[in-house]
Amino acid sequence: MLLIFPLSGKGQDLAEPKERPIQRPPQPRLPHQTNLTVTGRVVDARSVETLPLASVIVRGTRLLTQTNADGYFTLIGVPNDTCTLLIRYVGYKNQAVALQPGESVKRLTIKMEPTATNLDEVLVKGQQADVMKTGDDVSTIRLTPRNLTKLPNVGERDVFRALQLMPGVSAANESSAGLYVRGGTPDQTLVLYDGFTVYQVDHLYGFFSAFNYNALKDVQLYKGGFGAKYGGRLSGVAELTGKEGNQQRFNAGGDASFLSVNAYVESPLGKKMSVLVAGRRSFQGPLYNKLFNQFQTTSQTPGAGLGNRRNLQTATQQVASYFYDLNGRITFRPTVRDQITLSVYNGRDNLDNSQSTAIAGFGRNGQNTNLGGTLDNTDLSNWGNTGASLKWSRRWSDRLYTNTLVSYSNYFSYRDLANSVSIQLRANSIRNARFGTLERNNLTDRTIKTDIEYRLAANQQLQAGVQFTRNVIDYTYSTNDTTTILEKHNRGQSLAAYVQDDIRLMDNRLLLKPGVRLTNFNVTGQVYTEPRLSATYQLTDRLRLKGAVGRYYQFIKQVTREDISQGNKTFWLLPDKGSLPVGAATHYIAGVAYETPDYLIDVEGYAKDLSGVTEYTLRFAPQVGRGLQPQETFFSGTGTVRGVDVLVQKKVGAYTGWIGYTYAMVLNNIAAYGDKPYYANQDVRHEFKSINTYRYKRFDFAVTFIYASGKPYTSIVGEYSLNLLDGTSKIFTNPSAKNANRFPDYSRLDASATYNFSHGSIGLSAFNLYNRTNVWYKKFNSVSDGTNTQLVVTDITYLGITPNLTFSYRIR
Amino acid sequence: MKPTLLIITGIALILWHCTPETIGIAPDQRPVVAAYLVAGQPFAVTVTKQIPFGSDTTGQGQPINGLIIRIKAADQTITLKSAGNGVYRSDAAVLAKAGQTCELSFDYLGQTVTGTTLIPTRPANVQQDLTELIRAAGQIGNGGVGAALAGLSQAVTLTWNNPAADYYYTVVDNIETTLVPILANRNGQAININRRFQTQPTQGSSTQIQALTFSYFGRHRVVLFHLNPDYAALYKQNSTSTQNISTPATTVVNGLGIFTGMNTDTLYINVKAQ
Repeated sequence: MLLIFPLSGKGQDLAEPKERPIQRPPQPRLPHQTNLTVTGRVVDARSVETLPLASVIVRGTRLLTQTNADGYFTLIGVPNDTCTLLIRYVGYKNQAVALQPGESVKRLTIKMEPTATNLDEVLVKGQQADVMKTGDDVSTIRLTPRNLTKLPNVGERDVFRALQLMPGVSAANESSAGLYVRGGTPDQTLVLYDGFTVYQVDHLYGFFSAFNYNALKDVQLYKGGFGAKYGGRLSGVAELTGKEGNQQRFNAGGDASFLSVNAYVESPLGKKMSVLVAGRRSFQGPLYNKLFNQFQTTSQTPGAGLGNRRNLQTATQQVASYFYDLNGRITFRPTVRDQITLSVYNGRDNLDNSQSTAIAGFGRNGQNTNLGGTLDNTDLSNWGNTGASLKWSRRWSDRLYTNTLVSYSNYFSYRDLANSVSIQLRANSIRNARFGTLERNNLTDRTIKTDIEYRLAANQQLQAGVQFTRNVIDYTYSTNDTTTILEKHNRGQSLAAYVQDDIRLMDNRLLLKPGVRLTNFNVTGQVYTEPRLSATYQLTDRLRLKGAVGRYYQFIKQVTREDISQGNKTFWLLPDKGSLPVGAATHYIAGVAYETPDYLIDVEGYAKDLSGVTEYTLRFAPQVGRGLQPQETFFSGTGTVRGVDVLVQKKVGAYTGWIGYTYAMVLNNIAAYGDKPYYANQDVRHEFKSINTYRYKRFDFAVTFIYASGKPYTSIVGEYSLNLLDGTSKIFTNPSAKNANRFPDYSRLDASATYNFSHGSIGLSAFNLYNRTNVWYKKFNSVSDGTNTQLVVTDITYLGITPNLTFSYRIR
Repeated sequence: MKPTLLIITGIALILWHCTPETIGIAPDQRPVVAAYLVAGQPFAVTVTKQIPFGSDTTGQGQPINGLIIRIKAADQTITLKSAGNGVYRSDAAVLAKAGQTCELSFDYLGQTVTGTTLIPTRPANVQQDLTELIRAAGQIGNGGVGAALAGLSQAVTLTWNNPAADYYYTVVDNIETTLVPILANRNGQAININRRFQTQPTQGSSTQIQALTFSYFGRHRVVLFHLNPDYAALYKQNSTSTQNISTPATTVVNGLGIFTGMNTDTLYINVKAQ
């Protein structure tokens, strides 16, 4: 039997129960049952979407639990059936549910009201309307995609860009949507979308991430110290959960901006099924073109002239660039205990800057007019992901829950930069020549895994699972169609098993999560053991201590191929027994959170010791004209990260926001670069963020400010020229010590104003409001007038001031 | 609206808007060595300064004179003599020999600059399938190009022994005193004015010299070089940005540039008019 009994959604604060206006039934509530097991699920009141990881607390006790991935919870040892449950979920009004004496306390459905559903309602004290929530667990951030409308955006409301506003996630990377978590690189963060791994998260040169906020229900980021359930990455985990689709009625909506259109439909299909489809596609409006021109780094090659006959050439530019992504999810609930979910994702970027030049015949006055040709300049970048997961979850009993998932993920990247000449020498003789580079990377991941959750007691839950993954990676980088610089065909599989115990001790004040993960990686033939432990201790009602320690291994590497003339490209490879070692990290985290009803102050210090840090460079490649050996291009060493994240958040009221500050130092020590450690590319020493949102009537105003120290780079200290054997001379540059210089500081102010109406909103945003010139990288050119040469330094900068208008509409 | 956070933001900005530490780079004082030790020829080394990086600095690398430069070849140590302008030479009678390992050494600004190289063997079993090519003269703009294309598909193939996949490289020079262009413009001037051209370093045992690549009629000298890998590395595409900066691999320690041995064989090709 279902019991739905939400009491009130307004003005509740879990820390101060006396403020809560609970409507009590007139007759005295006497308990009919004692020592109960209460089960149920927490859902969105409007769409009946289940809400994972919501807090469920028994008022007046220290009993608490969290909903699982499907929104279900089980509370064991509830004193009696007159108790009241308090439910808390970021972006929703706090809910109090009084159990009904004598009625069933099984399969409760608790409906949560999203914050600010009534536009003219004044936000009362105590109501949270967060975009982001942190501080409860060790190094964890929760994000509500729906509330991203409150933040400024440039064309897309982006979950990863929003996560970058929190301390510990670097925000100074306009050319990468990936997450630089606590001194790590984006490949060190596991990105899971409905259970499958996403290997590349960039749209449009990384200015946006590949995830459509309209298709997302919940985003959880673990910045470190994460539990044994997750493995295979050194720094963090971003877990994205898609929406199941409205289970009550049809709904549709979308957004349109200067960059893209975005639409979704969701609907119940019968009583047991629901579906959601969301898609977006960019169009080549002024904003798209601005971003494209900003980030595409290829220098234009105009059609080369032949003598003075330029007037005979016809150049055709074939610019056709776009990105799109599609999300689909079907959820089927055949019984009350089972849920089957099929989730698919497909996204792709196509950036084409090619042009074709027709060369007219060489003949005179109509003679030999069939002698001619074409000069094609191909400049094509394609990449994309396809992923799918089929998940079956079942609650076998109040205590036992399993979740079995089969998934497939593919990432491909194709880069073709070439000039090809086709000249017709005679009527039936064509000479073709092609110069350029071609790069392909294709990765597939097939995974099957099962997670088991067993509630042993009121204060203890056991989790265990197994996971099998097979990776197939092919990478080819060649020049002029003939010379292969690097070619790799990796096949690898890993079998992992974990067990984790969540146990609450000392009257639930102490939460301990010991766990261990074992992985067998067949390429190295070794078994890797990863012990993990995290703990939180509630010292007082307001003060919480946190700590974690753990060992982490990574069995796949993303390597950056440095290339400025054509833009940096990254590719994935599997480690091996030789020059590409398995990455390893040990995390140490300690922190304290002080939380009042209105404010949160959260401080976490962290240290990471890494080994198997790999850099790819052609700097030391000794030879040309043949494929290079891995040991000539891959260099490995160790790394250390030390840092502290500070957050001061105002959680409630019309004015909310936070200040985040990160101090971090990332040092790598790779012998090939020198005998001393050097600052890693992603080493940003100070990062300061101020996020301010203010609600006035139907308007949401937001101002975000980001300041970050400049990143390190390798400069040129001099140049020299050598005479070659053919009598010509060539200029070479002499680099400084690795990363011995820093770019100027990065800073940016974004602002937005959003007008909300009952079916949507209109938002005006300005990115980089004071038009700060932020340096992306420097380019050095040697200019010679025949006798003297001079080095000319050009700053390649990030995006200047960019306004945008977004219109959002939904039927319901 | 509570201004607390904004005030804190402002204070924090003032406090934290400091420049992070930047490691200052001492100007790199390493000298630039340029030495091609050719078998059968005297030793010669050129030493210059780098052109320092700075927006107000222009100029070629200044020569470094007054050094005491020694080359140890086999068991013999040769002290080179300064010829001015940063050039140092051995006596004309002291010649580099194939198979010798040569070690460079000199002191500069308190550092000992060294380099080492092997003089490769003379290219072995060098063959050419043609000694003569026929090309038709033509003039752009007078309809002669079509005719001049005749004979373009010819090529001279050079072959040699290369069991160890060493590097080889060819330079072709027109050695006529009077230049007669194959393709000329309306004024009779050569379309391509270079009398010298070369191939890329190869690790194969053959190369083709296309008839198309010749600009002038007459006798051409073809020098086939047997190289060390450090010379071939000079041809590697080098990038000049903060994202990928490098110097080519070299055996020179405490210095930049190249100290490499090489050996040659010479052949001839005659380009005749149709």
